[in-house]
Amino acid sequence: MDSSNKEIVKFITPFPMTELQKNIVKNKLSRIGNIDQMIFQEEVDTSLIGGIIIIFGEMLIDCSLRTQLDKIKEGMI
Amino acid sequence: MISIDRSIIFQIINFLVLVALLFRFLFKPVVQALDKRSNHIREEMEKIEKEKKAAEEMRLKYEEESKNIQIKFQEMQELANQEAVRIKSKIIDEAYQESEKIKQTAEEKARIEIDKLYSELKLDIIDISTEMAAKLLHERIDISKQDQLIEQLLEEAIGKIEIKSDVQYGQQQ
Amino acid sequence: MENLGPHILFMIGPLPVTTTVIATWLVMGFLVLVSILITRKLQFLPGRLQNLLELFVEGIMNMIDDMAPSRGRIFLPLVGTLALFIGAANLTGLVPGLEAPTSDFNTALALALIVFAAVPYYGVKIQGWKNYLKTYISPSPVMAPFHIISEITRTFSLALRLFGNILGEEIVIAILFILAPIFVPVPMMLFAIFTGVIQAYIFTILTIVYLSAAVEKEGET
Repeated sequence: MDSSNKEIVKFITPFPMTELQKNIVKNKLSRIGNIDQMIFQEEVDTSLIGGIIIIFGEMLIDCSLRTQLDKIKEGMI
Repeated sequence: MISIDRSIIFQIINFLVLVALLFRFLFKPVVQALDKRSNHIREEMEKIEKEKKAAEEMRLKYEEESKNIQIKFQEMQELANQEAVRIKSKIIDEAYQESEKIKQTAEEKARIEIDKLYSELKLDIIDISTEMAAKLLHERIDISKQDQLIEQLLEEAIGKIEIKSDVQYGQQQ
Repeated sequence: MENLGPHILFMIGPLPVTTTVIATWLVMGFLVLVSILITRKLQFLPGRLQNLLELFVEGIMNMIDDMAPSRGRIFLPLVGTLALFIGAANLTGLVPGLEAPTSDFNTALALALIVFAAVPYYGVKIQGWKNYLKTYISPSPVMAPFHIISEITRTFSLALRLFGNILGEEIVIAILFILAPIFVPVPMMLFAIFTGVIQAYIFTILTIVYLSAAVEKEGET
């Protein structure tokens, strides 16, 4: 496995991530992919309010509270 | 003293001559004058009678005519009244329909306006409430809760992805 | 008294012209002249004289019509002339120097004879021979002589009544003149006027009665 084969995984959170959080996320991701071939990048976006958005190749795992709220809002309209 | 002689013949002739003369000069012209006068009076009376009759006829005729005119006038009046009533009801009907239409249009407009307002209001309310919820969440959530959120939400999302990708991986292996 | 009564003045052929005849001519002339004067200018609206004349004519006609309905016009000339002539003749006696022609029995009888002749004349003229002659045998032929006698006697009585009244009155006036010439005869003369008019009226009305009886239709009365 080359490093060129490594996939870039981007975390977007409202707060800077703690080690514990990173571990939890990695732990979870390991169930759907090989984390050794992943390069992690972190980004802070306070507008998410809470939760995390993971951009993983062409996959987007949106677990932010902002998105949850938007969904609720759409449901109301 | 009572003696009859031939002079009696003279007297008879004299009297007959007198009858003839008086007839010619007295009785005939006087009787004619009387007749003429009585005729004239009779004619006048007849004329007056005739004129009276004519006047009476004229009066009756005029009465008849005026009665007819009155009847005609009444008929015309009645017709005019009916026409007026008809036109009146027509105008009222038209005005009523017009007002009905205007009312409906106005109601329609008002309804649309209210609907618009209502939906705008709804949107505003939703926006505001979402915004408030977001603010509230913002205040309540800190790093300690972030751990838990990430744990729970990721678990949910990964769980879903797992089910999908199991099938994919299964095919690859 | 010798002046009273007619006497012959002259003769025309066989007929004697007596003072009575002259007086008669005068009366005739007077009546005809007055008639001509009045009727010459008859007017539609009558004057006083014309009115009087018309009243007279109408009065006579009404009298005739009362007794013989609707015969007024036929009998008017005879009856009217009788009334006018007798009336005028009776009053002639009051004119001094004249004697009333009716105080001469010849005149009175002449008038009565004319009426006597006029009765059958008009009777035949109006009813016809047959109907007129029937009046002599009604109610029965036995009455015929009496009818005829009655006609003759009534003619004489007509003549005598007129003649007697007028002559008697003239004699009375003449005697009164002789006895008391100035004032006494005046009331008598006024009375004479009355008598003259009354006698004229009586003669006239009797004539009308006789004539009307002659022209009445059988059974009509």
